[in-house]
Amino acid sequence: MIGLAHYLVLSSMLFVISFIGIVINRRHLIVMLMCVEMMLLAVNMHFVAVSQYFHDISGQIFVFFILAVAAAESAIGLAILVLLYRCRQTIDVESIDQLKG
Amino acid sequence: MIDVQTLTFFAFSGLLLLSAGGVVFSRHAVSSVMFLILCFLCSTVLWLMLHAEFLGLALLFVYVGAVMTLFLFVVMMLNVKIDATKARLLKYFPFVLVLGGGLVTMLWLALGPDAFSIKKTGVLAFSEHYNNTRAIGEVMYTQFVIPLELTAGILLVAMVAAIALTFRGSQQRRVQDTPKQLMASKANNLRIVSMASEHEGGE
Amino acid sequence: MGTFLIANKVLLPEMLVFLMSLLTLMAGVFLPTRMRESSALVFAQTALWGAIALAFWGMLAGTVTLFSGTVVVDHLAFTLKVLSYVTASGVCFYAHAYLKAMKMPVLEFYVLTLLSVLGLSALLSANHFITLFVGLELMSMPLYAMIALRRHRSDCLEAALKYFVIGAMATGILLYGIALLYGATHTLGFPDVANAIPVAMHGHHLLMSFALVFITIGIAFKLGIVPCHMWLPDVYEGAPTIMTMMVATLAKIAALGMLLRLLVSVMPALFAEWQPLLMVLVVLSLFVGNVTAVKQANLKRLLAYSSIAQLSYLLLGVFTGTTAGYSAAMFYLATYVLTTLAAFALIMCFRREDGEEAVDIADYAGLFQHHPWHAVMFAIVMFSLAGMPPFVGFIAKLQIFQALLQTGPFWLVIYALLLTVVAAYYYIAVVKVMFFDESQTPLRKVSLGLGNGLLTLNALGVVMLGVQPSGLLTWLSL
Repeated sequence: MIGLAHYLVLSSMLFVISFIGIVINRRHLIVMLMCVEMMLLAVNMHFVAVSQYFHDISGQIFVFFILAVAAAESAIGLAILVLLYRCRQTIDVESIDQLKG
Repeated sequence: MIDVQTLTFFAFSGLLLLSAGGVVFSRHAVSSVMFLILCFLCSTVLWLMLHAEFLGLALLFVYVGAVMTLFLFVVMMLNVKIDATKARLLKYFPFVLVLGGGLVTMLWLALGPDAFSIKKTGVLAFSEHYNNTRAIGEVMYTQFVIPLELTAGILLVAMVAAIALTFRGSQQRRVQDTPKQLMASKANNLRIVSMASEHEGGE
Repeated sequence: MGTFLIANKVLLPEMLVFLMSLLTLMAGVFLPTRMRESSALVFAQTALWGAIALAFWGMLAGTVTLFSGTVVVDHLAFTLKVLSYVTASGVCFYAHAYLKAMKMPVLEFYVLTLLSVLGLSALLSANHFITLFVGLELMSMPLYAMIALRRHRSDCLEAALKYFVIGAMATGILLYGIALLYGATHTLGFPDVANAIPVAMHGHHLLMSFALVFITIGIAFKLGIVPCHMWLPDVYEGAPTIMTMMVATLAKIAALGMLLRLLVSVMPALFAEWQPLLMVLVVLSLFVGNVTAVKQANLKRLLAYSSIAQLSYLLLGVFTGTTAGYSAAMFYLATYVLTTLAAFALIMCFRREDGEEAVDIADYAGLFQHHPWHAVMFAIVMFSLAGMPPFVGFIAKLQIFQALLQTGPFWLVIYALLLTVVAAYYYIAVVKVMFFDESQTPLRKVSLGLGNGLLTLNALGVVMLGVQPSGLLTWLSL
């Protein structure tokens, strides 16, 4: 039988993979943005599972808002990314070091 | 004895994790996007198994249909070559192993079968008349109307920002405006000004 | 019907801000070009000052919880909201001339500022995790976009992208923390979660600690304190100065609001867990912020590192876990915001010969000879940030240390005092360059328009509040 723990562990593994992706994938900004999307997917999975097993609908409402916000967020992020690419002809994070960090 | 539910869950969650790895480690950004789409598809199946039909389908339509297309579009437009992340993976391998392994173990202890066993949480059970979309709709426009309005604000922000950032002024093409040419007359184009001579004394 | 009227009255400030942002957007479409920019400023100021008036009127109703407990208007929300409206109004005044000089789109700036303030005020009024999240995003997203509004400059775009990636990641981490908390408590309203935590502590202690760590790290990214500070100096340096001003003020108000709401109201049961966590953050931030600031040659980077240090004093107030400490943190935030506004406005006043903004400390050598009044204002700001006696920064630090002495530990007081001395060194070094060094090429001063008068008021405010702080202190105490 599939219990809540299965879903929660799955979501935590997805979260860890995307977190590692952000940490090691410093070469490519688009992949970093995709890892953020994946992180939100892990969060959503957690919310949906808990919400359904404990019959509390507000978790799913939260997921709905996360989906809407993430869509808007990626639109803004990609707009900035395209602008930077036009300006610099690269989106390699390591060559984006005009500001020393 | 493995039932269909269990089989489906493990098949799709395995595929989900594999494609998540694909997003992180694939050589080209386009294949990363494709793997991400596969991730969302697997999640949709898993959410349908949880009876969260509304969100599962919203994920499919809104996310795969719109957001991922946007990503794919940008990736194709920029067409950036990337070097293999393998070298970096090797460089960071101990770090990844420690961080990933540590986090997974800790989260396993916090979320695993000990904490949320079937005995404690029970199985997924819904009445025959359960309607997921209805359940969401009932609170969405009553209790959560303020966040809903604010989300409208967020979408407005995304729109204003995207336009402000990428719009480069109205197109200034030089085209012939024939009606305007035909309407031209001496009365509105020619102005006769009477003025004093510039050089009083002359040459 | 009665509840509906109260609901309307209490939420009127937000409604006004939303409405005026839409009107400003429409002004861009329908008004003639020459009227657009000034009318946008008028709309923005009407919105913000109207919202302040309405907030005071609405507060007569006392603490109100609305929409099945998703929104609350209490003293914390009210004071921080008024503070953020005042701050945004100051930013708009300072921005007007600057935006034209930097060729940034003016109307979009005001529209996005108003929407950001709307998000901030929703975040401060949140009584439910969903409202908190949506408000947080509505506040941050305009900030990402506005940094990129100077779109032909690649350093601005880079700052915007860094801020965006870090912000998105922080949101992800914060959300995962909230999800873990939800897993243990099965509820999302703040009062319900607060009630459910002591019960859930028995079965899910590890889970709760995880949730707490993720939530605190998420907020630490938003605050920009060590170890989540790597992005902060770059964003401060690369962003247009008006945006640095907004990131340094509005975003910090949001972060303190979240911190007080989540740690103090929602997780008081986890006090024994979050106090050591905050202590680690404070000890690291005080050291890294102050020591790194000493080496900086760029004034905006210096202010970035100094902000890390300043915010750790604020955290010190929350760390105490007493009402006196929280009130001290509120007062510290108000004075920090006031002083930071003046600091960045002063930077906006000066250009180098080639028209670039003067951001290096060396540019300001001999400022006193050419622009004595501005040099004096700079000195006031720096002395206040350093916590020197007649200025408001001193009172703020005094409040924090008084609260900390009540609870201890004593070594933390000594440690913070020692690093305050280090901080005084680099602030005074800047003032020394301005007053005593020989100038190479004199700086060009540009007018801030209406901002000029406000700047003087702002700098005088730093002095006046230092002499007469009692009114603000009582108003801000929780």
